[in-house]
Amino acid sequence: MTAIDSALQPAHGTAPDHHAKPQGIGRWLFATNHKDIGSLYLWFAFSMFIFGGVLALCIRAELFRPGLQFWQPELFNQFTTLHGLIMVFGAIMPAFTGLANWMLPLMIGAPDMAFARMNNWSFWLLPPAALLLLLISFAVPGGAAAAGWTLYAPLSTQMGMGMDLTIFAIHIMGVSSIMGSINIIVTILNLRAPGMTMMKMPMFAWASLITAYLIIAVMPVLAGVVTMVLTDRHFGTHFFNAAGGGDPVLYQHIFWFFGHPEVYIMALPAFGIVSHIIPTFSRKPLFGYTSMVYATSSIAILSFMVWAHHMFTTGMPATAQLFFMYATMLIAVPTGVKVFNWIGTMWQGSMSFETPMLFAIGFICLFTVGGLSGVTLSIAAIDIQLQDTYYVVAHFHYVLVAGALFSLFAAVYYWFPKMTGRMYSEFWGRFHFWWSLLWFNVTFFPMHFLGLAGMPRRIPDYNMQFTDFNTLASVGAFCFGLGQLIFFANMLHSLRHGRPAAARPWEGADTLEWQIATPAPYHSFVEAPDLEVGENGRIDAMHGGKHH
Amino acid sequence: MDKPPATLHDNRLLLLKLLLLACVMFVFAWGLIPVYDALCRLTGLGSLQRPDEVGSQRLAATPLAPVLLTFDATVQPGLPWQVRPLTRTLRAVPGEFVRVDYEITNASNRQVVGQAIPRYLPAAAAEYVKKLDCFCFAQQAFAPGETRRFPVVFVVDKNVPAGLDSITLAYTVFDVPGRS
Amino acid sequence: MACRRVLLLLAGWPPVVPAAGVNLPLPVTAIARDIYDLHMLLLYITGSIFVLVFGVMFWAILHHRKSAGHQAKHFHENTTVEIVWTLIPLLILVAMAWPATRLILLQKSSAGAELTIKVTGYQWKWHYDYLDDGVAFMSHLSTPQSAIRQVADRGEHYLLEVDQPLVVPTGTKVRLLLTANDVIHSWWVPQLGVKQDAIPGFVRDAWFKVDRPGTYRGQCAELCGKDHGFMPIVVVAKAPADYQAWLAARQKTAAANLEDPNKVWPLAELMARGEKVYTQNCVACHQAGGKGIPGAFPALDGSAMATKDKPGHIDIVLNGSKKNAAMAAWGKQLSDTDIAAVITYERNAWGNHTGDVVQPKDIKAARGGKA
Repeated sequence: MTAIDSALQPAHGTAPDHHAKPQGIGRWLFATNHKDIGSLYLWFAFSMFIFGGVLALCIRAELFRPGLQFWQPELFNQFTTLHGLIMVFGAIMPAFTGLANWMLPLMIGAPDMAFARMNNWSFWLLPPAALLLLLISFAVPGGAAAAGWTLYAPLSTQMGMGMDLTIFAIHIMGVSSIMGSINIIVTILNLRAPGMTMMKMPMFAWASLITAYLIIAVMPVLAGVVTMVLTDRHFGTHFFNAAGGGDPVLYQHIFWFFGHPEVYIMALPAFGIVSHIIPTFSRKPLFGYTSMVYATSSIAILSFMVWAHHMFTTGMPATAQLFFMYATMLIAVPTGVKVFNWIGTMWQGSMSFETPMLFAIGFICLFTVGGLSGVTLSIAAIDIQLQDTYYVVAHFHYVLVAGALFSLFAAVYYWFPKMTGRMYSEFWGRFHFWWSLLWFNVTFFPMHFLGLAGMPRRIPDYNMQFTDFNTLASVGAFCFGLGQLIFFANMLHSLRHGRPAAARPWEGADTLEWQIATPAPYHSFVEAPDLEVGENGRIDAMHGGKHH
Repeated sequence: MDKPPATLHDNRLLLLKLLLLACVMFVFAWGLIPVYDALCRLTGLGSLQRPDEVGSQRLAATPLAPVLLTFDATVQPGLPWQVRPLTRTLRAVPGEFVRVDYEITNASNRQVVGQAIPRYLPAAAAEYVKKLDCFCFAQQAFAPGETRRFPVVFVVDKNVPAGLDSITLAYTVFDVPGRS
Repeated sequence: MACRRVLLLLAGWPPVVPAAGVNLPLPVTAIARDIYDLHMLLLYITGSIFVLVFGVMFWAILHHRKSAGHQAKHFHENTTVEIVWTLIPLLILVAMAWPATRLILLQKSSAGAELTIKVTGYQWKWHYDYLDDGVAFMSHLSTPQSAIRQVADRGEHYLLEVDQPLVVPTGTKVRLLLTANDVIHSWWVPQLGVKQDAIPGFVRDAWFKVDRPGTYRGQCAELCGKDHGFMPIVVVAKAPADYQAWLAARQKTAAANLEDPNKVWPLAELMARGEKVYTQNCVACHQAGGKGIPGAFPALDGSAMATKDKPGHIDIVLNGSKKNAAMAAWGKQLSDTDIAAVITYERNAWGNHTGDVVQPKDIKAARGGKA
């Protein structure tokens, strides 16, 4: 009952003139509307994706052939560090928060996010953090942080002022994502329309909910460990300095206690998105909804017990290696269940292959490649050879680029009609998919071979035997980067000139957001509807509900 | 069911409670320091700087297989010392008292204070090496150019597991800042 | 190799097969061989899973498509199937875990070593100390800067060559004690199947037993700062008799090289030696021409410190820079003679013609000041 009451109360008061759509720069600076904030997040994430991508191309340019051509080694290390930090904290995490902002209220019949003003604050913290990382830290003496995105101590205690800026930026981004997560949790738990019970919620809502809990659990851990680096650097503590009784390996334990759940923070929302798109374009309900929910939860719980598999070469006792190896291997089981469920959904469906479906299928295949190389890496005995090589680089780009990024593209294409009221260009969408698929694999598949053959990661120069695959990867990276401009152009053009979209442009789409007008009204579900809901948020009937 | 809107009074009360909570957390964090000290005393953790209790080591009834011991020392940056064990390896029967000597030279022309921390390989061996005398029990002050020998006296616990047949005792020696 | 050919052909590459492998390099120890085999086993298992699962998916894509006129069925769960596809992966994982566990226990059993070598990681070189035999040396990258900066003759072992390799006997269980001087490094030689982090202030161990003589190359595997990519590892395995001969020769030169600290060196000798020390230790930052890298590493050529402030110059080389952590304290790593030589070199090379000669005894005196 609370859900109705809260839903009836717009989160930001009831002043009559408040419902006019604000205009000008104020609309964005003082935004409290979940759709506006969602759009801000998505644009921010896209621009960070471009920045991070340019850094990646700087890295690949240097690695095009042996020898030092463009950058000094120190600058190269700054590029690899900032590329990682920006893609993780600037691109992927804000993009998922943006999608959750846009879609969660529409999917569960809420008028807005629960804390509209906090929502504004959690977005507007991000640009200053990005500014600190990108513009300012490259300009300070000593340059940006160059200790890798993992910022391992004691290397990070050696760095110049850029490291302090990075630590500060991480604090700010951490605060932002914690507030975003609080908003998501409260919205999902309190603002669901009557009839939308937890076990009937769409998978994206489930994935966002579990992800939000993970973020709240681990971002403070990251903030804590970088603060320890900060006090080691400036206030004479010795957390990571053996001379004062500290332990450098302690840093890695704390960091990866954050770092491994972080991997799932970037993967679970992707699972949620794909669990919408596959049923829609298979015209068939999601197979095994309940086991999907349980699989997602068990992945989240297991993710807290596997952190030391990132540290197999630090010289742990055999018992610790065995424990972390077994726990890590176990994650393959719920992950496998998810993949099987998606294929079970496609089985005996009536599939069509619009751009979102193509990206979703691409996601499943390539994410599984990353998962299988992950199983190989989880075997501690083999990891001894592969740790800190290009094999690991290949592995995590398969799960983060082909995983998180492809699912984000799928989501943007899928919900673009609902967000903008216009269709994107299907031809350029498909072209974008096939182009990205091809060059993604050209870039990252050879890295498996490089790692196996013995090329360490984070090096600016290499022996001649690694030349061919590096050249290939660099060519692939530049082509992949070029392809993202197609996406940008398609979006920009379709935003103005796309064909007007129907309220339900996808035949098989049956969740709540497709029941309302297109584009989604500025204030949707001001009055909550009464819903009859099936599994995965399928709307069987809707009564009442009001928009402005 | 509609809750009345929060009044200024309610908000002030909430603020007060939150501030109080922050203070309690701060006091709790500082209060942990004596708790940790007591914990370490009770469990014997952090007892690097005092002799171990040896117990009835010499009463071993049956002779045990000897354990191969390796000795080493690493001096960390900032400390102008040379530290070397005069014995590199030896075999010791568990329960038998062993003495090895370490020679330390201060290679600089100033007074230097250093502290040695014992490290064991495998790490699990730490609890089976019972030290009775060691230069690591205290900070050591060295006059310019001084050379001294220190005995390290210890017993390998007779309860040492059978699989643990070789132990490395490697000291890491640090500069003690502010004392030099 | 076939895989590589296919891939290169797909990318429109000339179908050449260079020396580089696409798999783990040829193993030369029992552990590395076990790792190789276990990896192949996993590759076959995961490969079959991939083909099987996505075979099913692509069959569905081909047949259950709307354009083929297929009507959707509306089932959405099947408990039996779901239990089966939870249990089967679990069983496969157990099958993988069995040999992996055995191998991990083997990797960790360093007992019974016949030779112990202490390995210390420095930014950015390795120090080897044969604990029982009184032989110790620093191992630097020997690829010249000119080959890195320009496309000058890069040999086959570009970036994987050192001035003094680690020499070990074959058929002998060699145990490494690893530690580091500054930050975390990682000692990795793929063909030996050994990768172990070297952690400052702590000691770790690793072991290997090489089957046959040869030269095996690796690199530092943990990001350790600027020149992380430029601190290779070369291990030369010799038959035990050859190893003993090498050791004896090493011990003889070590004894001969014990220098008289009070010897007074002529300028030319110091310059020659100083240039060598400079090339090994200083050139990466301060550059061959002494010009440094503006903004990051100061120039020595024409600088006030290298032309006027002699005590300051000696102090910064001995004790490092307070302002810039990249300038290490060389007092611990280089002998008095080497430091005297390199300072003399820096004060007389390029455009610096101070004529200053710094003698080893000056360095010895300066060490007393502060270290």
